[in-house]
Amino acid sequence: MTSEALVETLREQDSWWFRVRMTPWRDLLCGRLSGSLDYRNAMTEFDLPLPLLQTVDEVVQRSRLWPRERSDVAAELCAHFADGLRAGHTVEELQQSFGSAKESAQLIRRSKVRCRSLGWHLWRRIWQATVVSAVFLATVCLFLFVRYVWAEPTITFDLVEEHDEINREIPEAERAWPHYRNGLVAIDRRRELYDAAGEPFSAIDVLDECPSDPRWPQVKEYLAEMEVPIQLFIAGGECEQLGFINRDPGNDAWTRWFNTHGWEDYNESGTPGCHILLAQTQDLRMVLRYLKGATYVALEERDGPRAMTLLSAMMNLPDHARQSFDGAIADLVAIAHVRTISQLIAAAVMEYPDLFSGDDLNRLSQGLEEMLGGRPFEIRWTGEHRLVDDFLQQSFTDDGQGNGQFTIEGIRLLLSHLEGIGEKELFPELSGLPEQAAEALENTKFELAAAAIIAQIADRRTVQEKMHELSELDFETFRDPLTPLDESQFYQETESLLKSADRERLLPVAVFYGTRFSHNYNYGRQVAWTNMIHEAALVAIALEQYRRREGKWPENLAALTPQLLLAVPPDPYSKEGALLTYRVEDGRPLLYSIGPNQQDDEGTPPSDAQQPWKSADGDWVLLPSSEPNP
Amino acid sequence: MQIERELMRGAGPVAVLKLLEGGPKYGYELVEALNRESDGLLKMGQSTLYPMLYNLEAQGIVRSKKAEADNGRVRKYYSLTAKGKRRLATDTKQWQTVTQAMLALGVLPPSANPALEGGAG
Repeated sequence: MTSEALVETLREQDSWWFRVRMTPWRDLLCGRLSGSLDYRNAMTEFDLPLPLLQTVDEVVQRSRLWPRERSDVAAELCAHFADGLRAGHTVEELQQSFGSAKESAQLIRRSKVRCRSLGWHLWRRIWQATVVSAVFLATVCLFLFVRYVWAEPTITFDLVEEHDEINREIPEAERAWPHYRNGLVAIDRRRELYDAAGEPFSAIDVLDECPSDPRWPQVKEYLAEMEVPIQLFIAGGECEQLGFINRDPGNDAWTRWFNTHGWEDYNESGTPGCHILLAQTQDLRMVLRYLKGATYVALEERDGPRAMTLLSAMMNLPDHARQSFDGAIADLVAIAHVRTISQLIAAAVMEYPDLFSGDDLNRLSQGLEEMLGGRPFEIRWTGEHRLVDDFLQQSFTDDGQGNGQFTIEGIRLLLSHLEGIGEKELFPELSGLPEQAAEALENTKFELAAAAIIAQIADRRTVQEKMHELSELDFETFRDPLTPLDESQFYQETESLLKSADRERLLPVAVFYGTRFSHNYNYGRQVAWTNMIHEAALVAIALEQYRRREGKWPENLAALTPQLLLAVPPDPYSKEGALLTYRVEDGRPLLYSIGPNQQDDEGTPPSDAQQPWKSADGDWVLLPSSEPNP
Repeated sequence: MQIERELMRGAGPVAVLKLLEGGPKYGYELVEALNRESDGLLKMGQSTLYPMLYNLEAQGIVRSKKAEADNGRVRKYYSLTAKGKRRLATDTKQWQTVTQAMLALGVLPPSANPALEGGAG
């Protein structure tokens, strides 16, 4: 057999891919699978027996060298064997003296590679460094992925279930919510009314202003048709307990009004505190609007008993709002209800005194005293602590010792906090955060950029301590009517955190509290205003009782105490501890606080008399009531 | 007698360089010469020789050149470079020093002479 034929037998095992690799680019581009770089071409020149050719072939194959290097090595080894045969050695002797093909291939490869150019070695080092870097990066990513992206929050309590458990204990017959709910479904909110010019409007827009709105006559007609829901609202108002239960099948028609898929989707178990829907709380405002509108109609029609029925039904609404959810938001709604009811009572008593009997006045006074458990009205803070704890449990893991690490779910929660930031703009420092965080979470849960953010965030205990610290300062803003929000310690601490280097480490705190309030709100002032409005309603009743007894208005409020009024209310804006200012002006009682500017402006009201906490000018006029004149 | 692998690793290159001092040689020639001149003590197979030659070439100690042999076949001849000659001189001196030390220690008998003499000079 010729050497060519023997070499061909070696080629029988070659793959198609091997032939491609052994063909120059030039030939490949011409469509020829020439295999001209095949080192075995060099072997055909030597007249060697098959075993020796196989040894050379094995060594060269194993060496994994470049084609030209392979050809060189193959030719040299073949020449060596050819010389050995010519010198009289047998095939077996030559194979034996050759040594291990595998070891030889390794050594040949190593030494041949050393012979390659400096440029190639440089390229190889760069490539190796790239591979090492990629492996290192992949390891870091894997670590971050496992440690942060896979970490799940540890949920130990459920705010929705806790709320519902309490309310399920209330007997169904004693629950106000079913009445309110049925009434709310019946009021047909989408219905349009038409003003004198034929322009459509919603009754709800007018019910805040009532008689002072030119569209009041049309709304009165509409309210006459709404007697069924109003009766349902009255029935609800007569119940002590709201008894609202999330995901109650009975709420189906009501929840569909809010575009939810039905009662099953309304505040599912485990819903984070910041995602809990409070449509029921908001809708209690609607109930109040209708009852207030109906009260004005009764006053205009001089129907005292009906007005008393409606006012009495309203007295429980603040408590119902407070029971709708354990949190500051529900309490703020409750306090707003106190304000509206107090103003309405003061206006009704001062403008329509003859509609109310002595007993009526006593009942109104007693109802006012008992609203929300009595004065002074304060925001409960237990629910806020619970919301902070819920935020922590929804965002962090828990190692059983009260510590843990932030999770991707926490980032999602922060994003939901940031969604409304454009409207608030309290802290410009937050402006870049939504984009950064959203980018980190774009498309997939397994975004490692989010893990990089998470890795910087402090542990659960550290975040918890800071959140509780700010929570306490936050509480102070509700109790302090004198300090504007942006001068409060809470605001300054939050702002300082947002500007500090700790912002990334305490990102959950920065976002949670940075998005808490807007400039438009000053809760301390709202609470103070409510307390004063409530006091003013009691004063109005006492003044009317005094007038009935004495035939004139008293010279001062001290004349009302202690029989008609327990004590003269102090002015919270007086640094000297002075009382609310009272005098009779133009034959009518005038009662006011000097307001946040702490100057007596002779009873001149601020620019927005109904929401005086929004401005610092003027006096806060309590009587006559800023409620529209019935 | 089989020379220890580590000892061979030190002795092999200097032995090859010494053989190349006499003029260019191809692989098989070197194997035969090593075997013959060291009485088989420094005999090495191709699996050791050729990687060693490639390494020496990579270090610039030897160079290779293809040339036609007597039988008309093209072979690869290895020869010393200037660097290789300097390296041989250095290695020879070192081996002589080691041999002297071995003599002084009695590892080698007093009658023993270094198997490889001289260097480039």
